[in-house]
Amino acid sequence: MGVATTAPTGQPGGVFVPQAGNAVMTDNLLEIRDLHVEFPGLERTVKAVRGCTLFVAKGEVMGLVGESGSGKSITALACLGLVPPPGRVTGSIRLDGHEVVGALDADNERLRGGVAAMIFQNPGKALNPFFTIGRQLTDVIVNVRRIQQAAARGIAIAALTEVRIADPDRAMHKYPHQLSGGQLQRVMIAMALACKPKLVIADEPTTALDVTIQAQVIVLLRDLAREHGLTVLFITHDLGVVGSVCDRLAVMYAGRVMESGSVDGLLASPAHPYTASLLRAVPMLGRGRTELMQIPGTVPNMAAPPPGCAFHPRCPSAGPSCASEVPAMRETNGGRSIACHHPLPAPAGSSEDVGTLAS
Amino acid sequence: MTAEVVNVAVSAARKVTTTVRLLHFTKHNVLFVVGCSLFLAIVLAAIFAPLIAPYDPTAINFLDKLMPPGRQHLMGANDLGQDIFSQVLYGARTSLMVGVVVISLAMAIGVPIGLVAGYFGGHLDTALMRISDVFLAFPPLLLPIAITAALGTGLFNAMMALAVSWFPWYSRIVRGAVMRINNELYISAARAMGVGSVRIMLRHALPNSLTPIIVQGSMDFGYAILAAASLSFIGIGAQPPTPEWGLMAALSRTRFIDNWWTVTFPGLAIFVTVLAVNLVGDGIRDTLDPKQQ
Repeated sequence: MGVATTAPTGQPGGVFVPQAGNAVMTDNLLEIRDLHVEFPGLERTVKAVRGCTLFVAKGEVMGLVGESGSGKSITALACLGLVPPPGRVTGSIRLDGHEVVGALDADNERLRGGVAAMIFQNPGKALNPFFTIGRQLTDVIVNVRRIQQAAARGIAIAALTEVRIADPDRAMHKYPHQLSGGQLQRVMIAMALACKPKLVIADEPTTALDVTIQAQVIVLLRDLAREHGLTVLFITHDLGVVGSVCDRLAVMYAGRVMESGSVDGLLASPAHPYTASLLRAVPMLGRGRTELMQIPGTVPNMAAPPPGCAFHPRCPSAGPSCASEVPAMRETNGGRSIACHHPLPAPAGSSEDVGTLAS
Repeated sequence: MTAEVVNVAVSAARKVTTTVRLLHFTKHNVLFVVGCSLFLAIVLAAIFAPLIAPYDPTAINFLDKLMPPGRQHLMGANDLGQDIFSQVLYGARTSLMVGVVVISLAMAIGVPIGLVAGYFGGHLDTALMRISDVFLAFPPLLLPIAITAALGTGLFNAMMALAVSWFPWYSRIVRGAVMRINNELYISAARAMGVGSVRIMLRHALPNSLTPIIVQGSMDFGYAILAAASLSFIGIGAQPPTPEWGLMAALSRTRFIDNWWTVTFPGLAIFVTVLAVNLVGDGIRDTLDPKQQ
C-alpha cells in the first residue's frame, strides 16, 4: 500500500493510516479508503457515506458507532458489495486483498460467507420463515464450503453447539418462528461461524433483543471471536456495549469517521466534541434521577449535509472555520485519529462524566 | 421416557388436527367434494376408456347411423354410426391431456420469466414484462387462432398456441410474489452469506410463489379445456378422427334439431368437466389462499 501521508490534504477524509504510519498491507484485513455511497433520486441525491476511511487489522474487534443514519450499515453492506440499487459506490474497499468496489458481483459473491459473513440486526427476519433452521444452515454451508450435505449437517450441529443452543439436533428441525429472538441470533452467528470466515460484520446484532439476552449474545460473540481469532466489525449505536467487546473504536457521523482509536483511550478521553457528546448522552444507572443528556439539534439531512464539518451546527466548540472547511483526518498520539478543528484537550478534560463511563 | 410419551402424544394430536381440519373443510365445502368426485370420475373414465367403451370410437358403422340413445348405443350414434358414448370416453383423454399440457407449458415458460424479471428488476424486468404484455394485448382466443393459422391446424399446435398466449399470467403472478419478498431481510442475509442469484431464486423466491401458481393453475385448467374445445369447434384444433368434444359438437352441429344427442352429449361432457375442474380450483384456492376469496 505504501506509506500514506498523514498531513492535512485539504481533501475531505483524505487517505491516512490510523495505526502505525508504516503499517503493512497484510496487517489489515479490511481497508476502506475514502468510501462514498450515494443514492441518486429525482430531486435530490442522498449522500449516505461521504469519504469514510477505516482500517480493521487482522484479529481485532473494531467497533463502529454512530447515530441512526450516520452511514454505518451502508458502509457494512458496501464491504460485501451489497449496496442496493440505485446506490453508487466510489472509493476503495480492500477485503482480504480483494478490491470490492467496482468488482463484478460474481467475484464479490465468492468473498461473501467464506471471507466475510454478516450478522443482521433483526434475526427474526433474517431467516426464511418457510424452511427449517437445519435446512437453511446446511444450505449455506454446502454453498460456501462446497461439501456434501451430510458433512454440512454435522458442521451445522457443531456450530449450533458452539453458540450454546440447547439440544441442537432438535433445533435443526425447528422453523424460525418456533425460536426466540435470542436463539435466532445465535443461529445467525452459528451460520456465520460455520462458513469459517475471516471477517464477521455484525450489524447491530443485539438491537432487537431484550437487555438480558443482549448481554448473553455479546459475551458469546466476544468469546467466539477470541477462540477463533476472528476479525469483527461490530456496528452498534449502543456505547454501553463497545467497551466490553471492542479493541478499537471508530465514531461515525454524517457518513464520515470523526474519531478512531483504542476503546479505552476513546472512552476515557474523547478528543472529538461529538464523541464526548455521545458519551454524555449514555444514560447511567445509579446516578439518581438526573435529566437525560441529549445532543441539541438533529442528525443532518443527508441530501443536503451542512458544509464544513457536518457536526458544527450541533457542536459546542465550533468556530468559524468549522462551517467552511472540512476538517481532515489526522493522527494524534497513541494510534488515534481525529477529524476536528478544535479537539478537546487530552486528559482530565471534562473529568467526571468521562471517568464514570470508562469504568 | 416421559419426554417420549409426550412426543408421541404431541404428534398424535397434530395428526388429529390435520384430519379434523380436512374433515371440517370438506363438510363446509360440499361443492369442493362434488367437484373432486366428478373430476375423479372423469380421470378414471379417461384412464379406463378402452375397458369401458363398448365400441371403437373411430369405427364407422352405417347400419347404426344416427341411432338415438338406447340399449345398443348409450348416447346414440352419429351420422357415421360411431358410438357417441365411446367417443365421449376417449374425448376425456384428449381434454385432460390438453389441460395438463397447456398449463404445464404455460408454467414452464411463464415461471422462469417471472422469477428473473422479479428478482433482477430494472431494465430486464421492463423488457420481459413488455414482451409479456404483447401477448396479453390480444383477446384470449384471437391469438391462438392467429398462431394456429400460421403454424397449421392440429391439436398439438392449438395447445402450443394456448400455452404461448397464457404464460404472461404466470409471469405476472411469480414476478409479484418475488418482488414482495425481494426486500425481505432473509434475502439480503442469504446474499450476505454468499448464496448466488440462481440459488436464491430457486430456494427462496420460487417456493414463495408456489401457492398462487397452484391456485392459478387449477383455475386455468378448466379454461384451457374449454379454449381447446372452442378451437376444435371452429375447426383449427383437433382434426377428425381424433375423439375431441369440441370437434364432435362441431361436426354434428347442423343436426342439432333432428338428432339432439349428437351435440348434447359432447357439450354436456365439456360442461361437466369444466364445472368439476373449476369447483376443485375454487376449493384449492380457498384452502391455500384464503385471502383471495
